[in-house]
Amino acid sequence: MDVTSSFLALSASLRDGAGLAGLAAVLRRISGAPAAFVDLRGSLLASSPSRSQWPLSELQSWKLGVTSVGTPPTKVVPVTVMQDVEALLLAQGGGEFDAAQTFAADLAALEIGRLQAALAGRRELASQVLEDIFTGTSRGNDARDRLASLGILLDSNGHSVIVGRCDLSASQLRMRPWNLHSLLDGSGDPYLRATIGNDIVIVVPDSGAPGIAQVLLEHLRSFDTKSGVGVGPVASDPLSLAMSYFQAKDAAAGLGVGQARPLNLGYMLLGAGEMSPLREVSSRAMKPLFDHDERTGGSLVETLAVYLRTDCSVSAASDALFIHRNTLRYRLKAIADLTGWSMDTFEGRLHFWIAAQSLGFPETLGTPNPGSLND
Amino acid sequence: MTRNGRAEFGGVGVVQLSTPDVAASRAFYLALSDDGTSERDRSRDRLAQFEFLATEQPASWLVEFTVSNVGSAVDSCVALGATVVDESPTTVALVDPRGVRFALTEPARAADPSIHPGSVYIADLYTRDVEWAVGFYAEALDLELKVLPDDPVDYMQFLAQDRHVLGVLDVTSFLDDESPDQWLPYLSFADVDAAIARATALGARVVGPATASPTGRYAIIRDPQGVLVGLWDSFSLLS
Repeated sequence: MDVTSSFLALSASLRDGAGLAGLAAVLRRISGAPAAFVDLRGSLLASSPSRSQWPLSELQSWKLGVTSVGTPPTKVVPVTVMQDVEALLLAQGGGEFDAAQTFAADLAALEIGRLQAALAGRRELASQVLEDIFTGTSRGNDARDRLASLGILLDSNGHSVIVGRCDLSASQLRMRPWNLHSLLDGSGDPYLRATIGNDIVIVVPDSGAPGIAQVLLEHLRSFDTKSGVGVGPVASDPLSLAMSYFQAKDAAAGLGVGQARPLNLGYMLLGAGEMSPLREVSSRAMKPLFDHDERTGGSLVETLAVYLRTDCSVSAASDALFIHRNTLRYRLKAIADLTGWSMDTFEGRLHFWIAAQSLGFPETLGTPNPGSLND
Repeated sequence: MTRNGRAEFGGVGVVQLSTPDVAASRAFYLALSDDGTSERDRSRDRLAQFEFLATEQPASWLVEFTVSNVGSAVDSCVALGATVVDESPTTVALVDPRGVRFALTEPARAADPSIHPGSVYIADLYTRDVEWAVGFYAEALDLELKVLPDDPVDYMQFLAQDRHVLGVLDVTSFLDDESPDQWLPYLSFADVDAAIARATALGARVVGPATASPTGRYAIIRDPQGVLVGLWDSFSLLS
């Protein structure tokens, strides 16, 4: 087959909707040797024949400029989309097929770029829905319905939020394919993915969170070695999903994969500004204390309020409450055990202070009913 | 365990995964089997057919086959050169003459026979000696052989009661020499491409991309622990 015929056959394959599998099949027909496309993790996207041996483990450490890997040598041609290598064309056979292989890699880049543009639109929609939920603009059944329209059914199985941070801009993050397998079969992202601010946000089933977080970190580190990924706790309603997001955002501040700490309202405020559902989240964060007091007839909420009002003075608070100092210390420890935050730390005091302010105590001790604020 | 009468082959029963990280493997297969369909039975244990065992060795599968008469089937295997390596009242683990592990078990130990996302309905023997393997397992397990043309090499399909139950695949063309002969389970999914997307997002890598075959669309992946496993549209058998 001459060069012109080769180009026409490759173009026709893509035009007919055969995708990268079609390009690999035509290349095989042209050269009489196997051809394939692989992503940068060494995961096969298409191969002709489908069962062929490729140096996949060597390709996991492929670097720009490497044109051949394995024994016998397999030719590697980068598939470059908007100046970034997104995939690799693998080919065997002689140098007389170089032009066809380069043309096939260019066609593959066009195909990936076309699909990416469509995916970016879906991600914008997902970003808007998640942002509305995380900022409290969309709540309750409206939030559930909008999540369901994106394939997220909040139920007893639970979902977690994963947040990824790197130095790419929001528009760059939105255009990145992340998973070429799902991009190429036209199904979009395998798990709901959005861009909020300069962060990647993924909503995943709880059981998949550790694995997906690790894969996301590998992906982000290919652009920025100082990337961080945070995993939020399991959520089964829109409000706890918002809390999972803020906790994941906090956990993503370090390097590597970070697990969420108990929600700290101070950090949430820092992350969300005035758009966050602060009163509702404060209510949820303090709910263990209200539940404890209701169940036992205890006074943890009152103790917390008085302790804050007396500027965290053990002697002043115990005098005001007419209790022994050790009783006060015991109650403060119980508060820490129930909420995960200790009054002995600055972060803990900030957390409880914000909760107290947003819920209206210490002036109105115990009056907020957390149950009425849920969801 | 009775030894009288003919052993009738049932299908794939429990699949055991020996893995260096039980929690990670369990999480991977649990998430992979969640295809997000709202209709699914949420109370069902999606991993009921799986057993996870801790090992310091590389991850590997042990596939159990259900037979109506385990004793008789074991005798057939041993007579052809297989070795018994473990035995319980209901299940016998064997190694075939080429060193491949498998197990025979009573039907009562089989999992829910219905096909649902992530269940294992068939298994393939990945081998470099197809002729020998076909001869051994056809006789040992009393299976009927059907040759299905495929690219790059034909697929050897084993039938029991006219039903596709097992297969033999020549791996010479796509696996390196370090990959041992082994029985590989195929997880059932109505949408193999969506399963690939989930699997790769969860850390797996594709070794054999999604491909149409005479028995339905399938793919071969390495899970995050590096063990090979198949994905297959076994739902196509029901239509």
